Amino acid sequence: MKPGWRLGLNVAAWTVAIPILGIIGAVLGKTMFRSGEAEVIMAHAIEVVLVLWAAVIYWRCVPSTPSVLRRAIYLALFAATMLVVGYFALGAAVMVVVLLFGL
Amino acid sequence: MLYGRIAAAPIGKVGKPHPSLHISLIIDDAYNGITVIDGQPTMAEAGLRNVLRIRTNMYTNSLPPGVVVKIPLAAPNGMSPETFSQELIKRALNFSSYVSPYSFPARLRGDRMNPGEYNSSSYLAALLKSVMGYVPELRVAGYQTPGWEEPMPLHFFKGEAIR
Repeated sequence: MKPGWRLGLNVAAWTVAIPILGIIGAVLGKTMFRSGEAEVIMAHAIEVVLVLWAAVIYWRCVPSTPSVLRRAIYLALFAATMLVVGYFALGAAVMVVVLLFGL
Repeated sequence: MLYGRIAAAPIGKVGKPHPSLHISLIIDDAYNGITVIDGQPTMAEAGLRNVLRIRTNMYTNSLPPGVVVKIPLAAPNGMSPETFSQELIKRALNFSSYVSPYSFPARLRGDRMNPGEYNSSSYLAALLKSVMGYVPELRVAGYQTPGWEEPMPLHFFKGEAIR
């Protein structure tokens, strides 16, 4: 598989996982962990999972290069892309959770 | 009392400095027990054409889960707590559910509503305004309450068929 395709598919999987994690968290919050503290812990756990997953995508899928400048540009582009994609995916996740479970 | 919990938790808290609160009104009455009132977006329970509208959500003898803030609410001057409770319940029952569209905040996760758009906080702010004559101040450090600044028009609480 071409490196570009692999990177795109991994970012797409990361994006789709955000609403799925939201649904799983909402189900757990309504069944097993019915406290505000538990919801905060789950939110932090989701954040950690997403950040670590993004780091793995960067490590495994962004092409390496001997040029430090080019490497820095790749990192900046990757981080900016993930922030924008993540912002919209989180918005979509909130919408899906509200539609499925109410407020 | 007003109880606040994180809207759309836990994903509603992810990646945000100030998560949005969903506010519920708790009426604790010696005779009738606990009554909880809030506004909720509708799903497809009343048909697909009524998806994402605002309805009254009222239940008794249980409290909302995941509460992070509790705010005392006093009856307005000249009104007894009993009358205040009864009026709130009466107005909530009179509310024209399934009429006003439910909207998300500006930029989906912002701290305000777009003008003329309403959410569950707009519902509760208007319910309180319809009984108290004003919307009580609501500021919770570390959280935002989009919709509180944009109460629904009071004609929704008159108990008339408007659709």
